[in-house]
Amino acid sequence: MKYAVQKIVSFVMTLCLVSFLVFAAFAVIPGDPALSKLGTDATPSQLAALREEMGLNRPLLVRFADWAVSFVQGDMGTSYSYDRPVSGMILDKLPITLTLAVMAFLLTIMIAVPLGIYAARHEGGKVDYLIYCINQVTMAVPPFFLGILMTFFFGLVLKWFTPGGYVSYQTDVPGFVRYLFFPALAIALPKAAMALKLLRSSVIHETRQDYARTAYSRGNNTNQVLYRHILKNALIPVVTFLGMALADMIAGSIIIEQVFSIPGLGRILMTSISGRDYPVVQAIIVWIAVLVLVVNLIVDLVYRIIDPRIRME
Amino acid sequence: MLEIKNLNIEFHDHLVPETVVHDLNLSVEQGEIVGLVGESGSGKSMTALAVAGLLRRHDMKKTGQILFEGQNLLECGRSELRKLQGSEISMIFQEPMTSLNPVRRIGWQVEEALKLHTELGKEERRARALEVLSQVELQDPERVYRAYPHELSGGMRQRVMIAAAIVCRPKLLIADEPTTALDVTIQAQIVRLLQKINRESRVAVLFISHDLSLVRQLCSRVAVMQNGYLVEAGNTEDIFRNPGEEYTRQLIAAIPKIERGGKEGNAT
Amino acid sequence: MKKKKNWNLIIGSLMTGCMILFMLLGLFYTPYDPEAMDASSKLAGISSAHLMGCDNFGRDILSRVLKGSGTTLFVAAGTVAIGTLVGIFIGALTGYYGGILDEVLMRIIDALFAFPSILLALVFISLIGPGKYNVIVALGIAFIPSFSRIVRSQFLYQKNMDYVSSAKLQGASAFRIMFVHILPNTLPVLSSSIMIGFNNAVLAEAGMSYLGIGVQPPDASLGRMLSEAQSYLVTAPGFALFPGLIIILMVLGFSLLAEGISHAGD
Repeated sequence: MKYAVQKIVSFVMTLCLVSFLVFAAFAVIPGDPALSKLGTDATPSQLAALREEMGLNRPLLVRFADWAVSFVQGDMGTSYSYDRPVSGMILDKLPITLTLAVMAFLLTIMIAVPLGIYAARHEGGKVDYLIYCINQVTMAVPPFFLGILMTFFFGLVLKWFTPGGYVSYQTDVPGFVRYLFFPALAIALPKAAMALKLLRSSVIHETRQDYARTAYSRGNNTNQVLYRHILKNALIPVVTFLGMALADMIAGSIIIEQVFSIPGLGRILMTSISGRDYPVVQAIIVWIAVLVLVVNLIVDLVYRIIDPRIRME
Repeated sequence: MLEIKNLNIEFHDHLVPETVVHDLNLSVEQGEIVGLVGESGSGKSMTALAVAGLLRRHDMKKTGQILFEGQNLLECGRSELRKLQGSEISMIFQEPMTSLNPVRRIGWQVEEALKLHTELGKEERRARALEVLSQVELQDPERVYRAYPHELSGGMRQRVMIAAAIVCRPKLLIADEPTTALDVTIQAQIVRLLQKINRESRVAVLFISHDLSLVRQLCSRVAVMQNGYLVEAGNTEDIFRNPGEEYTRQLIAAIPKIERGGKEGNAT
Repeated sequence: MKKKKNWNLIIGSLMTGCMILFMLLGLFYTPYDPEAMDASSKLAGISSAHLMGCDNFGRDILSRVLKGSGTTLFVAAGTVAIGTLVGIFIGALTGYYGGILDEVLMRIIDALFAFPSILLALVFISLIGPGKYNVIVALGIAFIPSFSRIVRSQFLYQKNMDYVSSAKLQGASAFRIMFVHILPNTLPVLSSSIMIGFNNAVLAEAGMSYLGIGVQPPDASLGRMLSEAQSYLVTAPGFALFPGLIIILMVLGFSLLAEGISHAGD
């Protein structure tokens, strides 16, 4: 209970800190938002009026508090370029990016865990070596290039999907998931390669621990030692990695969305960055921060479930 | 009950094969405690691991016989060996800190041999586990049952190891330097505990140690190893009074005279 | 004892060596002007005149890849330099002194560290605009948190070692202890994270240039070439393939080299 409170407090504090840093960065560096909204031919009195209206004359912290309160209430400001509420622009895109990241995450686990265990059990064998080689190359491929290769091979040559033929989740959920499969795979493969490598070495490391020998001395066979004793220990470092990987995947989906023309958060983020549409950029970054922090919280929880030593602290 | 005949253990993981145990003969009778002493690298731990069936690597060769109740452990299949491991033959190790699985509860680990070797139900296993936990003189067995290894001290963990080893009432307990990693005061307690368990449940103990004073306290018979060879074996008191070999004499002479007083070694 | 050949080291150094030669070559010589457009050889395939074919403006892809890999190397090196130098500075101060400074700085660093670095870089780019040097600054800043954490943990570990105490007894200044005594001892750990950081920088630069917010024309960039090539996958697959392959070879060679070095250290 005390732990939960502590975690939530730290969650809120980190979120405030990150959003303040983002807010401050956007408030200080880009110059005058009123100017950029009105254009250079605005008269000084127009500018002053707009500044007053936008509250730009008040201290930074007050403006931040104001902004944070309305953010929580669902008002994320107004887009400079589209003159629309930001919340309306991004809330229905959030599920797309999130689905993509979660699918990529699941694919990562589905690829890395069985292969990692297999490679560890057959350490030094031919398949282990083959996996090692494929792994090294996969880790070196930028996900977006993987996406381009997939578009070419699976989309244009094999015609398993229509490049650019995104299906909205609001009309056809299975079609939506099907379209996201290859983008998710492109994000997942490099991460899976890293997770696999980590799991393999972790399993091999744990196999050499004393407790594994104890388990054998009780009459466990190799499978029992692996699944009853080693795996839970071996997963501890992998969970940490997967948590960071999931955060990376949320960010990585921004690029992959461009490759596969998926109208998710990444798409709006890119247009807003090139258009200097700061309220949108700001809102998206804060949303991603929330996602990343939630992921961290979940990782922490999973960690406590599998490693009793953490629970004591 | 246990008879080791002409045991040779050879490693092939280097270019030149290395023999770590030469032509070893040793026997342990039902219910007796036999000491196997020697300095590190003398082959005593290898012998222990071979008897426990834990030296099943491909890069080594074992010849001779390890007869357990007439069955040659070196020749029987893996699954037959596993039937004995943990139920008839069990083992405790030098490092209690790392020999228990850090992410499993003590109860789970103590019960594991029961799960593998008996048909007992959940409640019966739990009852037996609590019984052995109190047999190894752990206070508050219920609490220990639910605890994780990191919540216990080294001495307590070694008691847990012993409890887990005797939970199936084995005929042979192999103790590989079980006290080396512990404080002197705890060492004495563990030795007394092994004595008590040997008396109560008539389990034979093969006690591997480099510490002759402990061996003298505990064992009725003793075998001395050096560089993979058995140099001397016999009744413990006879050997201590009248060592036949120069090496044994040196080992005995190396025992500090004041050891029994327990004045040293408390620094840890 | 038979020593297994360190293939990672051999192949890694060969690949890295080739890539560096390739990039150096790009600095002094390209078969064609990388910017010269030629309508007649638009999307031309591989030929003896154009070893990698031509792009949608008829520019020689080999020349552009040569130039682009130089840009990538430059950006990656700059990024790692900023990340490492500032990271060492912050990590050394927080790790060595601890206290309130450590609390505050590490709180911020931790919060930023939880953030994917490419996203941090995007934030900075959106503030300062795209371009070669801005990418270096943005990525460099984005890399600071991870380097700071590594250096800090090393300093925390090293500062209680005996050699530090004896340096203190001899009256060495804090600055001298930090950067003359402790820093060299953190190099084994630091150098491997620098190599990993270099690879991440290559991948991040390529990603950002692909998105159009990285290196801007007229600077040639592998990532940007890939985004241009995407529309011509059917007509000119080589247009996308070669820049992509160069990125892969660069990263693969370097990661094999890093792994080989760490194995050689064992």
